[in-house]
Amino acid sequence: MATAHDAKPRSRVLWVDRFLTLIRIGFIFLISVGLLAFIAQQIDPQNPLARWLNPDATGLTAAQFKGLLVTGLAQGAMYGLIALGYSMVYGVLGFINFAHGEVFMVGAMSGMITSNKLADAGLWEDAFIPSLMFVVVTSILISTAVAVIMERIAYRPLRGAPRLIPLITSIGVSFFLQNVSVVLLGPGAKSYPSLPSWLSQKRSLIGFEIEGTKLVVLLTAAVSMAGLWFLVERTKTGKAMRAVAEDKEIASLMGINVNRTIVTTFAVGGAMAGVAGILWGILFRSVIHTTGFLPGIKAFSAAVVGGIGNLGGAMAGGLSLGAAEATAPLVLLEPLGVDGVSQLRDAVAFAVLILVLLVRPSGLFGERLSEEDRV
Amino acid sequence: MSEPLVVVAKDSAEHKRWKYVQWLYLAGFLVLAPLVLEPFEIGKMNRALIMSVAILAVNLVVGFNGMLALGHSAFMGIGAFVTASMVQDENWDYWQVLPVVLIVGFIMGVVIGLPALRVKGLYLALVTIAQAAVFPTLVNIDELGIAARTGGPNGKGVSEEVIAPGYLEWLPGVDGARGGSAYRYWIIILMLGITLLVITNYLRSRPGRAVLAIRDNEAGAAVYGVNLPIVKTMNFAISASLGSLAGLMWCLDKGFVAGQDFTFLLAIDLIIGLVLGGVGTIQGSIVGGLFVVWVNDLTKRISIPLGLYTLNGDGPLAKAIFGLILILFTFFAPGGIVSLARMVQSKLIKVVPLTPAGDPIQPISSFDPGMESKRADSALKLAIVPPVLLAVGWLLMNVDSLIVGVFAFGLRMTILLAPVAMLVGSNELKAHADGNRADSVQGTANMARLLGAAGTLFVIVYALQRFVVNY
Repeated sequence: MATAHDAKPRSRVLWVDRFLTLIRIGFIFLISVGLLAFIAQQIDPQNPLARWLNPDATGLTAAQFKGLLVTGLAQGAMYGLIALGYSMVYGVLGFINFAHGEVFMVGAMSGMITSNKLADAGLWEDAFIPSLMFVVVTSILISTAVAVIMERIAYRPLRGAPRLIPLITSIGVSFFLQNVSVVLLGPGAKSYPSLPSWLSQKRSLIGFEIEGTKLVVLLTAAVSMAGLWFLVERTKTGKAMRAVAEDKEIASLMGINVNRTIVTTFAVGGAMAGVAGILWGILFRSVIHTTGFLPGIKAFSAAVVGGIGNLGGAMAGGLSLGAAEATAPLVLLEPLGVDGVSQLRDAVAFAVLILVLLVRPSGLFGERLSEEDRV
Repeated sequence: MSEPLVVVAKDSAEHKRWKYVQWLYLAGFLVLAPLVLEPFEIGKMNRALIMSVAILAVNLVVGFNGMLALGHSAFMGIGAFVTASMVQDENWDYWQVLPVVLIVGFIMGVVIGLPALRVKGLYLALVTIAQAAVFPTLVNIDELGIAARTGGPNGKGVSEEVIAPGYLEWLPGVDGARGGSAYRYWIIILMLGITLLVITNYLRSRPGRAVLAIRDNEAGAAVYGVNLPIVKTMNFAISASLGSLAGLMWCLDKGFVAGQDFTFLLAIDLIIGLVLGGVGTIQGSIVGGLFVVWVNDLTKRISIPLGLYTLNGDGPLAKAIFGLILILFTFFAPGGIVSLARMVQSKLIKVVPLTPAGDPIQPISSFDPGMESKRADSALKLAIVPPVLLAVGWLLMNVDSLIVGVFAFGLRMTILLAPVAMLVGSNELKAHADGNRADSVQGTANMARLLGAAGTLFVIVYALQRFVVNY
C-alpha cells in the first residue's frame, strides 16, 4: 500500500509546512541562544550576553556537568532497555504496548521482594554478586512471564482487530497490573536493601567521577544490548523475528511459526524490562506502583527518538534522551533565565521528543518498519 | 424473543409515535433528575455530563478520525484554569470567558496536533500522553506568572458562586435547597445540547465527512483530494476546543480548579468512558460519561470481605477489576454499551423502510392472516415481570433493607416497560382486528394492554405522590 505522502506532488508547499518550518526555526533558535548563553557564561560569568539573559546564573563547573551527564546516561541506559521492548513490539505488531512500562515495574517490584528476602537471610551483604545475579534472574523470569501471559491473554485474540483496539486493551492491562500490584504489595513506596559500600563508592574513570552503581547500570545495559544484538542478528530466532516484523504473512509462508515468534518478541522485551527494573532498584532504591508510568512513556519516546523498530536506535535514543533531560535544564534553560529548572526534567524529555518529530520524524538513526506499519 | 416486538414502517405515523415515546423518556429523565436527586447527587450528575462533553471531544479524534489521543485531561485543565483566572482575577463573566476558552483550546490543539499529525497518526498518541503527564507539573511552575494565574499547588478557587437569576427560578429544581447545583445542571444541559447539535452538524458537513473518510481509508481519502494534515489538525483542534469547554464547565460547576484534578488518571477515565460508552457514536459519549461517574460512585459503596482481604469499592482491587472490564469490553463488545443497547432495541422495535410505492417492506410472517404471533406473549411478560418485582420488593421491604433495591429495580423496569407493553398489546389487537392474527392472540394481547396500562397508571400516580404532593 503506497502511503499518502508518496501520492502527493512534492512541489506544493502548504501553509501547514510554512507554519511547521516556523516552529522548527523557533525551536532551533531557542536552543542556539541557550547554548550560546551557556558558552558565554562558561567563558566569563560577567559576560554581557550571559548577564542580560540571566543575571543570577551561577554557572556550571566541569565536574558538575560530568556528574549530570553520567547520571543522565545511567538513566538513559535504563530507558534504552525498556525502549527495546516497545520498539520490538511496535516493529512486529504495529501498536504501542502501553503496559510495557508496567512490566518494568513488575520487574522492579519482584527484585525488591527477592533482594529484601536475601537481605533478611544475610546473603545480600556477604555474597553480593551471586545474590544480585539471583535477583536479576528471578526478576527476568517474572517479568518475562508477565509479558508472555499478557500477550497470550490480552493481545493475541485481537490480532486481526483495528489497531486502536489493542492500544485501548493495553491501557486496560496497564491499569490492571498497577492496581494488582497495590493489592498485593500495598500502596506505599518500597525500598531496596542498602548496597555494599564498595559498590556505591565513587571511582574515577577516563576523567569522570562515576559512582559504582552507575557503572554497574551502564555495564549491565551494554551487556544486555550485546546479547540482544547477538540474538536478533546472529541466531535463527532473530532472523525469524526480523522476518515477522517485515511481513507476517510471507514469514508464515516461509515456515516461520508467527505466533511463537511474537511470543519470543514479547518475552525478550519483558526480559529487558526486568533487567531495567533491577537497575532502577539499584539506582534509586525505591519502587512504587506508579514507577512504570513515566519511565515507560519516556522509553517509548526514546524508541521514537532513536527510530522505532531500530534496536540500536532505541538504545542510543534512550541514552541521548537521558543525557538531554539531565543536562538540558541547567545547560540550556538556566542560562536563558528560566527559574525552577529542576521541575522541568520531564518537560525537557518530551520537548526532545517533539523536536525530533519536527526535525527528523523517522528518528535519529532511521526507523525500520514494514510497509504496512508505516502509517 | 426472536421476532422484534414492534415492526413499524419508516416515517409512518406509528414510527413517529415511537420516536415521541423515546423523546418523552429523555425529557422526563432530564426534568426529573434535578427534582428527584439529592443536591450532592446533582453535583455528580453535573460531573457526569461534563465528562460526557470531554469524552465527546476524545471521541471526535479517536472514534471519528481513528487517531489515538490520550491527553484531553490537559485541554480540560487549560480550559478550567483560563476560566478560573479570568473569572476570579479579571472579574469576567462566564459567558465572556467562553469564546476565549474555545479559542485558546483551538490554538493549543493546533500547536500540539500539527507536528504529530503532519508526521504520523500514531505519534499523536505519544505526544498527547506526554502532554497529559507533564500538564500537572507545568501548572505549578513559578515562572512567566503561571503559578500566580493557576494558584500553583494550592489550586485556584472562584469565590463567586453561580446562582440562578430571578427570572429563571421557574426551572425545575432551581428553587429550594438544590438551588445552585440545579441551576448549574440546567446550564450544563444547555451547553451539552448546543455541543451535540454543533458536533452532529459538523460531522455531516464537508470537513466532517472528510474526517470520517480519513478514518475509513486514509489513502483513499487522500486520493479523493482530502488534505490529510489540515483536516486531521483542524479536527484535533476542534476536539481540543471542546475539551477546553469541558474544562470551563468543570470550573463553573466546582468553583475550584487544581492541577491535581487533571492528571493522567482523568485521561484514563475519559478513555474508559469512551470505550464503555461506545467508540465512534455520539450517544456513546453521553453514556460513557454517565457510566464513568455513576458506576464509580456505586462501586465506592461496595465492601465485601474476602477472607483476609476486604474488597472495597474504591480500593485498588476494584480499580484492577475496572481495568479487566475495559479489556473484556474491547473483546466482547467493541461497540460499547451503545451497541449492546442497540442489540436490545433491535429485539424490541424494528424499523423497516418503505418501498418506492409507499408500502412498507414487511416480513411476510407479520402479514400472514391467522398467524400465531409471539409478540403478545412477550408483551405480557414485559407487563407482568416488573410489577411482580415491585410487589415482592414492597411486601418484603420491612424484612431487610436490601429488598428496597428489588423495589427500586422493579420501579425502574415498570417505568421503562409498562408503556411499551401497553402499546404492543394495542398493536396486536389492531392486527387481530385487521385479520392478521390468530384468535388465540387476542386474549394475551388484551391482558398485556390492560396490565401495561395499569403499570403506567401506577407509575404516574406514584410519581405524582412522591414528587408533587411531598415536594
